[in-house]
Amino acid sequence: MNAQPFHALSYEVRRLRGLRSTWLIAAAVLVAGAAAAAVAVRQQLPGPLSAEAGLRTVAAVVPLSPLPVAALGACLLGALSYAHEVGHPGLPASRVALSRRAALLLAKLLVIGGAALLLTAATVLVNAAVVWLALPAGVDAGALLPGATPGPTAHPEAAAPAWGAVLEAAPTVAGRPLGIFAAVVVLAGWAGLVATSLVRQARAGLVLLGTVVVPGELFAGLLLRRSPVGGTASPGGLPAVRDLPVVHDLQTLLPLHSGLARLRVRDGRAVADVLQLPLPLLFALLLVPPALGLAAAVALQLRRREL
Amino acid sequence: MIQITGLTKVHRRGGPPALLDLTFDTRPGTVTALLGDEGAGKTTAIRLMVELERGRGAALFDGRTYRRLPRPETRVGLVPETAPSCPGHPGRRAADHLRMLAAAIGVPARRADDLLEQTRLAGVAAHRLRSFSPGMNRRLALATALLGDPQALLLDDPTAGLSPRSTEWLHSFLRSFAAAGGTVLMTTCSPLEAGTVSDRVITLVRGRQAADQSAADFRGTRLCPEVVVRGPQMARLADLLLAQGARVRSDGRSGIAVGGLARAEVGELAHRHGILLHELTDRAIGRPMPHTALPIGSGRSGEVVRLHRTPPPPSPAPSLSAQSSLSSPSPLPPLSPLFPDPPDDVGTARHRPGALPTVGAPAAGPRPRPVPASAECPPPPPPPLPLPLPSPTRPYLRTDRPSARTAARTAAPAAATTTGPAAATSTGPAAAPTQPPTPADEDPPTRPLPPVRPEQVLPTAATPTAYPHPHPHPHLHLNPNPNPDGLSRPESYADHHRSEAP
Repeated sequence: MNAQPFHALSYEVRRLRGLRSTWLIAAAVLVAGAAAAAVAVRQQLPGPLSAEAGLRTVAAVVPLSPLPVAALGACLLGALSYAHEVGHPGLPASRVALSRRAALLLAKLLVIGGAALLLTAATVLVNAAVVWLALPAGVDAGALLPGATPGPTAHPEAAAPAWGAVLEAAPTVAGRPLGIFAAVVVLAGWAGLVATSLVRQARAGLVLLGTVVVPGELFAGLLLRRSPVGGTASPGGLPAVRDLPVVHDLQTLLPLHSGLARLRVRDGRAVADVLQLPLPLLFALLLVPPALGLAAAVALQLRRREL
Repeated sequence: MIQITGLTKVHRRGGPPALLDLTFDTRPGTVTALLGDEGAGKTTAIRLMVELERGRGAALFDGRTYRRLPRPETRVGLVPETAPSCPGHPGRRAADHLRMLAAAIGVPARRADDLLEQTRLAGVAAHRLRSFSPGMNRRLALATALLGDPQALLLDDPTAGLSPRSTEWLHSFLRSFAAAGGTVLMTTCSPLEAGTVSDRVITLVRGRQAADQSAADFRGTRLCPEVVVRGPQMARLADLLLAQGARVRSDGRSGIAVGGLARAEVGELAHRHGILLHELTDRAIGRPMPHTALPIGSGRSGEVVRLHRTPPPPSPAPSLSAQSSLSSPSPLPPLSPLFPDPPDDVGTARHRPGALPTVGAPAAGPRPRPVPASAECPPPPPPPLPLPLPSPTRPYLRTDRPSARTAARTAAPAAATTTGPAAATSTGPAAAPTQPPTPADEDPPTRPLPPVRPEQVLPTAATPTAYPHPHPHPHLHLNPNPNPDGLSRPESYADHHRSEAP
């Protein structure tokens, strides 16, 4: 009976809970997300609110930011989780054995994942409330919040959302996009932790992560432009992944992928059109840095004596 | 039970090894001290024991290395060198911090609260760690080390920078921990502390194990016993003592330190001549490590030495033969110190046929054990200190390391003090601070004290903190000798003083 992982898990929960920075980061994420959602929803044109715009407002996606606000917060939590352990080791000699380091890292991944899920849920709830409160007249959010039809009506009680209907409709309407949002946030938290484990410092870890994520999204955008729209795949080309709803949601959540398409060279053409990289090189640029980072993180943990 | 075998640390960049072939055992119920100056390899030894650093050799805790222990915190508690700095995140509260670590070890949170009580931190349990002083940090580090209720404690310089009160508390704690069957291994820079608190002292000099002595041996060879006498007529007593052949020097206000006479003899002398005494106390002061031959260790470490071209230990063989003749007759003829090796010629010195065949041949013969600097050793050459040559009366001056740690350490109380029964009116050392001599009985504080032979008297004004002082009066610590020019007493003063005596 080895109770070590549970000890590590309990330790990690206490560690994360006992830090003031955890709560400050969570509060900052919620406030910034609510502000972004309010701005986004105020800029909506009259008419029905599309599912894409709804996801963007609820997930607080800032245009051309590499990650949603909640994912940035989870990233920071993951990075600080490792950096605090390095900077203030409570039991430095206890991490000498690899099994104990592995148990602690596993506990950290689990706890950061749980914290990311909580952060996602809180962000969605707060932003949905913001959308409902700040929805301008003429915008119909029926697809997102059934029954939330603001504007001057004769029956004020009709303006109140039917919460039962919202809860019933939510899994079917928003289940997949919100699941993908939660996955993005959790993965961002883990990535922050792994990147910091390479450099043992939170700031350097976040910079390292940025140098992987930003080019990765841009190259993914280039790849998606090569993918045919509708119909079948062209022979020798990419499959038609652009039409997959998952990819569509990801494109909504990570708007930076269109950065190279918006950036224009002098003759008015987009950089993405000028930059005709071969497909294998694009795949390599997209996949090699994260793979290398993961391998280096594992190798370093095998080699190190301290976390 | 901790078995240390051949711990060696050689840095990758070359240079002399930080630690060379440290070998000793510790038994339950004892306190072992690793003594050495800064850079002697004490911290490296501790870190190698818990495998925070890579090195050679092994440290076995009940037969297993630290990494193989199933729950190491329940076997070995570690107070690391960084203990005076913040032991955790500065924004965390002490109780939260300790409960968190208790959760990591798998002991109930109640244990953390108990330990806060035991280390006298319960009152500040709700304070954040950034408000903790170095002494509190060290107590918290000690509480952390004790969370798993370990049988062994490793403490890396646990009293550096502590106040005398905290030092005393920590010493008594370590003694009681050992008395309860625990094993304590601590490092220290202070010979006084090592002789006071430990049962066994292992001296490290530049990474080599220079001596492995019991505390009694250590006190006999490295500590200089002296008797501190206080009273109103110290000038007269000093003259009498000097006539008896004792060594006398002034010690603070209205006190003298006497070497060469036992406490009872001093008390009897005072009684015979009707001299009033206020204090009569045994004390020990440190003596510098005699620069005896450094042991060369095993064949493997000899390789390391040759590889890195360290300066050769001056004439290792006489001490080696002295040591090995204690256990078994040595087949090695002693290397005569009359043939000085050229300083760069390590390899040829080691490979001289018949001189030291174990070097470079790891399997040849029994490994010579490190040399205790005991009475069997030939008298050591005088150490190359920046000070004038030390006579046997000179205590250990630590002026070569003028750091804050040293100052704090040397200000700590020196040794166990006892009160002589033969004194005419002797008070115990505990009663001494509560009964300051009345001004009528006291020497005039501005008057110098009577060291008559100036060549036997130390220039105390040059290093005022070099004398460990058992007297806990703060002004005595701050100003142990108000008379920097007290070495040349006018002869008329003694006469005048003698006429005052009853």
